[in-house]
Amino acid sequence: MKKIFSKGQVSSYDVLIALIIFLLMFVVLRQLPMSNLAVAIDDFTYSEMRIYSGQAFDSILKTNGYPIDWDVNNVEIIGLAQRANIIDEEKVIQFLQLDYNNAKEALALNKYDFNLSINSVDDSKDFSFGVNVPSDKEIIVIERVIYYGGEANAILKVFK
Amino acid sequence: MFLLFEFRKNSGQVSVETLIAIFIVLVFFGIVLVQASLINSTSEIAEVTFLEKNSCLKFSHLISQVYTEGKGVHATYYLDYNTSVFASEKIVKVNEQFCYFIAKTNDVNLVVGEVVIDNNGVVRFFQ
Repeated sequence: MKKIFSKGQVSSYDVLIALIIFLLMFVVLRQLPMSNLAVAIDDFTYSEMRIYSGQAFDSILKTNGYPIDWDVNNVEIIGLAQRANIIDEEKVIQFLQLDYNNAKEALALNKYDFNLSINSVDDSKDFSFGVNVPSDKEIIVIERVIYYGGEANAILKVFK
Repeated sequence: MFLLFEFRKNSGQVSVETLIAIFIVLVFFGIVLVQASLINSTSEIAEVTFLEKNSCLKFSHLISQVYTEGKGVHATYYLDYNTSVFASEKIVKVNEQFCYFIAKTNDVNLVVGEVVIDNNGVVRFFQ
């Protein structure tokens, strides 16, 4: 009779340990797909930022913008080029007068901040437009050689 | 006779501890099953979202490229989803996903299939 009674007993420590192991495994397994998802979202955000940076830079350096003779009041698409990679100084004057948020919208960079700088070889026509680049954020930097009254470097920095 | 009765009585009995153990195992199994299905549905939603966003980004980027490369440029693309282009907002929308493009174009609703993007000063779509 005593033997039968002891068969039904479970050590409370064993149950406790089993429960802890189960819960730990459960938490780890639950978190794994979520952390993978978070990494995938980060990668995707970076790719998205890269694509938007590229198309904004192409628009600035390769197109006239829209309308072709756009100014501060009627700009729809920002383009600073006379021809591909040759900068129109008159458009630069208009560009520098633009409101930053309007410029972001016209460059389809709505979700991101940017800074565009053009540095000519002789430093005579250098300019920078946009917000200061933070040091603690992931930044997309694109650089291209252009013609701006002489050889110059155009640098676009985009960040979130 | 007495022994046989005892035997029958004991073999039909299940201890309370056994019942509790089975109950706990079933509860744990249930929790795991529910969580597994939740993770599965989350993954499926994420996969669909990524595919839609990917298609949206590719298409919006292609529109921008066709525009920035200038007049006379055209490209062919196969749409995996019904896609809308909103010209004034410069947005491509694929279901709930939207992406920005840079181009002068017109509003258009496109269906799954091949589409030709043509730059004639203004970007146009032919399907």
